[in-house]
Amino acid sequence: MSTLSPASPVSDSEITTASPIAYSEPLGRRHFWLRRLHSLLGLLFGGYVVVHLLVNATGLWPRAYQQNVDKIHSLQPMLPLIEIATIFIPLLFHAIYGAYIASVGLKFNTTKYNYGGNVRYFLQRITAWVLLAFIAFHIATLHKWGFEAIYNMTHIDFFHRWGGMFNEHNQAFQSTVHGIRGFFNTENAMNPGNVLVMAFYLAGVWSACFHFANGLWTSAIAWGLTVTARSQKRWGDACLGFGVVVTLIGTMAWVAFTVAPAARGDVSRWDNYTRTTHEIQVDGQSIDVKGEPSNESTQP
Amino acid sequence: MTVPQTQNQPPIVFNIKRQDKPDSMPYWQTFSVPYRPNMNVTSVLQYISAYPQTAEGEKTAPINYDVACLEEVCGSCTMLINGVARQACSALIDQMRGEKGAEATITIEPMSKFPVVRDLIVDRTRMFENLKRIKGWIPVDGYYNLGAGPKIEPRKQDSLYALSRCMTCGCCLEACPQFTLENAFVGAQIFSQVRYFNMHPTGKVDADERMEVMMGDGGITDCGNAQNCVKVCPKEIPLTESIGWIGRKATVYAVKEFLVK
Ligand code: HEM
Ligand code: HEM
Ligand code: SF4
Ligand code: SF4
Ligand code: FES
Repeated sequence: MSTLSPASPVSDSEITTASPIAYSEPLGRRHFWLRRLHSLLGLLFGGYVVVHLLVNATGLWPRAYQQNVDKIHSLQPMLPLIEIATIFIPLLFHAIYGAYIASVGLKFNTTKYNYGGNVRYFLQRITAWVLLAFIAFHIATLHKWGFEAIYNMTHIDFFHRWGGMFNEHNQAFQSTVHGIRGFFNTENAMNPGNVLVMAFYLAGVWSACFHFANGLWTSAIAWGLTVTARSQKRWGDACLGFGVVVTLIGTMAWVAFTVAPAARGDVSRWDNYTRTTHEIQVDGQSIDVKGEPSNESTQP
Repeated sequence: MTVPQTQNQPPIVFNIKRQDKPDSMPYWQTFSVPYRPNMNVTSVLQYISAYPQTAEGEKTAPINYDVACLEEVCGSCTMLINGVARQACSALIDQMRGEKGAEATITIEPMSKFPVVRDLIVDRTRMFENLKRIKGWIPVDGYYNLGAGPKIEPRKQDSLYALSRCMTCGCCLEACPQFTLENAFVGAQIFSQVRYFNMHPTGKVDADERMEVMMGDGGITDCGNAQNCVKVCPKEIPLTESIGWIGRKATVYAVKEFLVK
């Protein structure tokens, strides 16, 4: 019990000093446009993630996975442009502005008001931070524009060791397994570091699925597509269904590169299953491969 | 009529957060109030005003609190009761005892999203300032008699009536994770009032000005769709529908602004 203060009359001046509200306009109308852009690009990037997870789910069938990767990379030389315009710019904008939204001027209160909507609001912001970390790590280690790009500029070995792990040229499956299941140690998958990376991947995949499905729901209110409580409920059910399906696909993708039989076996077995006109090396000679090759003869 | 038995009911124990001045430190005091049937939190506060003495028997200053209508239509007695924003006059002790048990301590605090004036009295100027910003009225003043207003079909009257019940209590703002003491967010109460006046055939003439506020700083874009507001609103106003409605109008307004203006 704190010390007792005797009653002291409150004067008028004390009452009026309580809340002089200054409405600053740091962003004004710009905030509206930026926020709508954030929503739109979030949806666009969500579309990419779904396709990305679908492609990666084919990792359960490594031969099909390599072929899908080849199909994507057959878009060369346009691929970097497409990647920048439809993946990196939307992601960068959504992530930066999203980090601003998720850190400025809010106060979580799920312990007092534990309604479903409030919990989803909270999770939307938590998954945003998980995704920020996950995507940064994911691109840094797998993509050639991550650590590998830094290595090319600085020639610091660290960046070469931990970057550019993905190799689409005939080793799509092996290199992706290496980047996830065998991140620290390709020999012993149950190495604690590997387990940590695999867990991080599962958290990243699940976060993305929740964040996108819930984002579909909130964006419909933000844009004014769902106005009545009933339509919000109905669309919410649809988003839940969508979220469950995407989570299944995402989990398949995760399984494919962590605990699936193919990932646990000899991953090099799946090298060189390629369908397009990439060059592959056979006996030190570079040959063009068309159609579906049988590389049984090159197996050890 | 039989008088209900009250002798063997335990007293009501209240933990009340007090604050002497807007800028002084808050502190807690405990009060023990004899039980009577059909009490509400306001009647308990009235009792403490009559017998300003803590549970330890120390004399203290009566608790300052707001109250007016005593029937949940003015909103002035809003405070945090067991941590949740609601009206003291409609917070029934018997109901709370039923839920938490007769021995449970009831905590009372001033709202946390408005500056405290003294004890349980908070300054809700922000809400009224926001109502001024959105022209929360129907413009009917003139130099001559404007005659009868336009007719409104019954179904629309129903929708408007639901929105008109807002008593500016601030529960929706207190519960909103996006509304804080520091930011400029206007919150669900204002969204619903903008909808109310923009739906009204006479109020409509100021619709664009209201939309300007909605699309400015602290406007509709700052809503994070947590939907706590609609859960706590004591008048059961369809706040989340108002938010969707404003979102739709803002989309249309923005497109119009982009292409036409
Ligand atoms: C990289 C880190 C990310 C951050 C920091 C972030 C942040 C946020 C935040 C704070 C919101 C809530 C906005 C609000 O309701 O006011 C949001 C919404 C959204 N996010 Fe993200 N996000 C990230 C990644 C992603 C990813 C990977 C996707 C796609 C899978 C995505 C798709 C969406 C969508 C569709 C919305 C809904 C927009 C709306 O409500 O209008 N975000 N994001
Ligand atoms: C187990 C699940 C996943 C696997 C196996 C996987 C695999 C890959 C691979 C192999 C690449 C390199 C592609 C290349 O360099 O061409 C890549 C890139 C990328 N991934 Fe993932 N990924 C997974 C989950 C995710 C998730 C959940 C997100 C987003 C929330 C994501 C976002 C990205 C982005 C933005 C890129 C870079 C752009 C691109 O190259 O397509 N990935 N991923
Ligand atoms: S929906 Fe959520 S964020 Fe929006 S006003 Fe209501 S409580 Fe606040
Ligand atoms: S909308 Fe409901 S909760 Fe908000 S101020 Fe009005 S009556 Fe109170
Ligand atoms: S006194 Fe008016 S709402 Fe409680």
